[in-house]
Amino acid sequence: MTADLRYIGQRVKRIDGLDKALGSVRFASDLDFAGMLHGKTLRSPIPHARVLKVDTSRALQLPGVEAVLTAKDIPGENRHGIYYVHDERALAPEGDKVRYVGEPVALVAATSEKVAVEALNLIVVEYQELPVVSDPVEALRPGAVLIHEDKPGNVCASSELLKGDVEKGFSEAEVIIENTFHLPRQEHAFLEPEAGVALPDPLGLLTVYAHCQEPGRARHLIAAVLGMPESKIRVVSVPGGGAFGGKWDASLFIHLALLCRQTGRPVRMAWSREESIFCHPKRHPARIEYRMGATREGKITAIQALIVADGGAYTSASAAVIRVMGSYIAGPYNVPHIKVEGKVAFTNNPISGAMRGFGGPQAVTATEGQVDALARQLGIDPVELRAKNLLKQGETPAMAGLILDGRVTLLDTVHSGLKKAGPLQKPSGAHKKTGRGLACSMPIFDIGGLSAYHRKGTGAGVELLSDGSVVVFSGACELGTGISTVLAQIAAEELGIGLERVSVICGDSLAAPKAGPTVASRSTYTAGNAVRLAAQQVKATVIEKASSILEAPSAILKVAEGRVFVEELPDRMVLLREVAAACFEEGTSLRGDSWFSSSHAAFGQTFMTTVADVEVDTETGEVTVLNVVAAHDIGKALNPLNTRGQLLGGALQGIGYALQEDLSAENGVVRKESFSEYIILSSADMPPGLQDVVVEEPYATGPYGAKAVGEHGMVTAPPAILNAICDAVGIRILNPPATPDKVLRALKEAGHR
Amino acid sequence: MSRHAIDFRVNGRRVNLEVDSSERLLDVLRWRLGLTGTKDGCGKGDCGACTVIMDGQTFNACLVLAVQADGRDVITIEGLGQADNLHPLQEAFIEYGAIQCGFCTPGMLLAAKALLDRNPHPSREEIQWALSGNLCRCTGYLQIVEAVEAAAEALRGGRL
Repeated sequence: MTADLRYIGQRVKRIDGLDKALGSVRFASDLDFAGMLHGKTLRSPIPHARVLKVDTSRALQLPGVEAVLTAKDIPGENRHGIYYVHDERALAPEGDKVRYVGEPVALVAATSEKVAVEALNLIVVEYQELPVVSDPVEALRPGAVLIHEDKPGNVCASSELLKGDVEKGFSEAEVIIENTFHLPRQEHAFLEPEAGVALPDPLGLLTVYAHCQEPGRARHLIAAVLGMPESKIRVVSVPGGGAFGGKWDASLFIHLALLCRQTGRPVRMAWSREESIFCHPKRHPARIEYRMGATREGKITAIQALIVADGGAYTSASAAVIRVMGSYIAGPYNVPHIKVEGKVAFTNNPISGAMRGFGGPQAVTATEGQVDALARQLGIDPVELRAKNLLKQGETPAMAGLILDGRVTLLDTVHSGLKKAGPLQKPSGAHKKTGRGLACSMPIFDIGGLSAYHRKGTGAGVELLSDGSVVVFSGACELGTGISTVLAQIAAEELGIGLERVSVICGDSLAAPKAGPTVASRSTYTAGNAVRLAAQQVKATVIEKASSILEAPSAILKVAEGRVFVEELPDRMVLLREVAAACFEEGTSLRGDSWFSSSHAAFGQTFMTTVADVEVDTETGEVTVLNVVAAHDIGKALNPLNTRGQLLGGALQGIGYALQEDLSAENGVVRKESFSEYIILSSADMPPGLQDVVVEEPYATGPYGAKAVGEHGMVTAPPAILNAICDAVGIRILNPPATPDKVLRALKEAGHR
Repeated sequence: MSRHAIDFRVNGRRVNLEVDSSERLLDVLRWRLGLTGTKDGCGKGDCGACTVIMDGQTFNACLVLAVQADGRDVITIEGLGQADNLHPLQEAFIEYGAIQCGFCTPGMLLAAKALLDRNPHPSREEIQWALSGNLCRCTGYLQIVEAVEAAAEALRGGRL
């Protein structure tokens, strides 16, 4: 069925590749409009304080200042949040509190960025400092200082996953592996900090151009804060320098809209790198107390995990993250007795929220560390141990809402990953040891099946124009992943036209119906299915019209290469553009509007393995990654160039998480404010054996069999690397990143030298 | 703050401007000449998104004052190739999937060009080091390195 596909499954060049190679794409921070003002945000320098007074009088008098806004100037509700809990304020009001360093207090718009900065310095804020709560475990203790007075015990969110009787499970166990993991705070470190422009557009809408992950939701939040109908607001997610979950929350789009409404002029904001690091939500730091019981033969009988995650100052996506983190704990294994309790604590640290993997990396790092430790203790091959415990098709995974409705391909990913990795290298010198680690997961992806979190229902439009070219409208955002190219491929495939004749309008709240957020590896599945359905509607119209033109029954007609023809007699044909022109002339709609909604499960799931080889220098503690092979069942690689980018890019973020990235906060203050302190991997750090393997087990309801690929390369890389370190030198780093000092300390404790 | 008249070349065209002594070359390129292909990623010389070539050498334009460009020859991404006449590096970046969000791409391309101009036969390791001042958070770098290898071959007369 897929044999004659022209675009799907091909290494199609990105539709935005040429303009990006030329440097001609206008990114969020490149936009410029006549009369544009420059906006800046005054932020709290203190992690926890009461705002006694905000005096803007001097700032307002500065020449060039067009607006200074505080909470008093907010016309609507001064509340927002990404899900149901709206505990963040657009601006902190007098009399209320600030709860983290970087919390917005006032806004300025001025004729230049320089004047705007000067104006910020003229705003006087009186703070009454309050005790800082920075440790999430301390925050949950009775009597701890409350971050939010209406949230007793500083509990931000909690979740519980229960299966069987965990006490019984441990009583059946012959070995118990017990470890406490501490996972770090990770920064998205997208290359372009948050930026955008709001302007009163010629159609009369307040339009915000920003790189964001859910324009429809952004419109909703802006409307509430501005006290305007959503219909008067347009949000467009323009090209930007990456997101990885960090551009989902409100960041600057509400502020831009407030300043634009106040001044009636275009207003630009571009955060500094420091602002970006301090102010968008991070990956949750987490402490995971973990017990795993098993028989001597290696059958896991029980898992018990107690998770305390640091939610930072506000809720953001914490409620969903802790649930997903808990669900990842049991992984792809059929464990009869499970008890996972998760709590997210409020602290005065940076807000935690969505980041690629969404709770997965923390849980999988712990679980795969435990499984590896179990295999070592029992002397069982790690692949065999996993095979013994693997869920089978038809069995029910621990996470509610999942059904294993396809073949379990985990071992395919393991074996193809190991094959690609080849034999483990010998150490390169004295004091060096090499080792191999394996980590597996059953990553989930959102199929838009959950009737909550505004996830269900994805619309799309496809319109055939009278010259035979096609426009695709989708609410999915092009964050750099290549989704716009994939959607163009789908439309071109279905309508039998050249890719160069397709335009994709992505992420525009005006042009496309609801699509939900571009998160959770969901867009290929949800937006892909929606675009395919819309294109098929148009195709049906085209065939019907062509049938009357060619005087041939619809059933024998085929659409390909810009023509509609009788399949057995290709010369009996009419050009697609002629059909389009005829429909246009007679008034037949050439627009397809689809609404795709899943109902068979809440989430889809797939399988993933990372094989990592490392060399550890026992003199310096330095870990060098030799190989990372990301092997993933993605159902069908709709565009192998794109999927490779997702897998390799994810793997590198995972290496960073395992070995060097940690945005730690001391007493609520982050000390790393640039890329010279928060160091991400450079090209020089790329492992020589960085590779990807794609397993393609078609997913029945996915477009052309596709599952998902966005987050998963990130999730299994960290535990694979940590397990490889253990294989090399026998130490298990429970508190990544495994920096040289931690490795050396662990080696010393283990009695090396 | 004093004003200075500067006279320099940008992508082969002569530019005369009056600039403030504190004005960055990056801002002159982006906001006064409209050359927004040079990106502003960190403002501290850490990320390389603002890489330009000045007299054959790469610089972070965020760390160069406009007055320092006086009398010099600057190449930005807009001067590397045109849609109908791409530089082999641009073709290879598109072909090999070396572009994702595309924000690091202009700087990455110019760093690669500076490398290939001085070393037409770089080893993989030399490519990795030459690009190590240009951060990318999307790709994993491999596709970029492969693209530079392919472009090097194309420039030596081989095929892309």
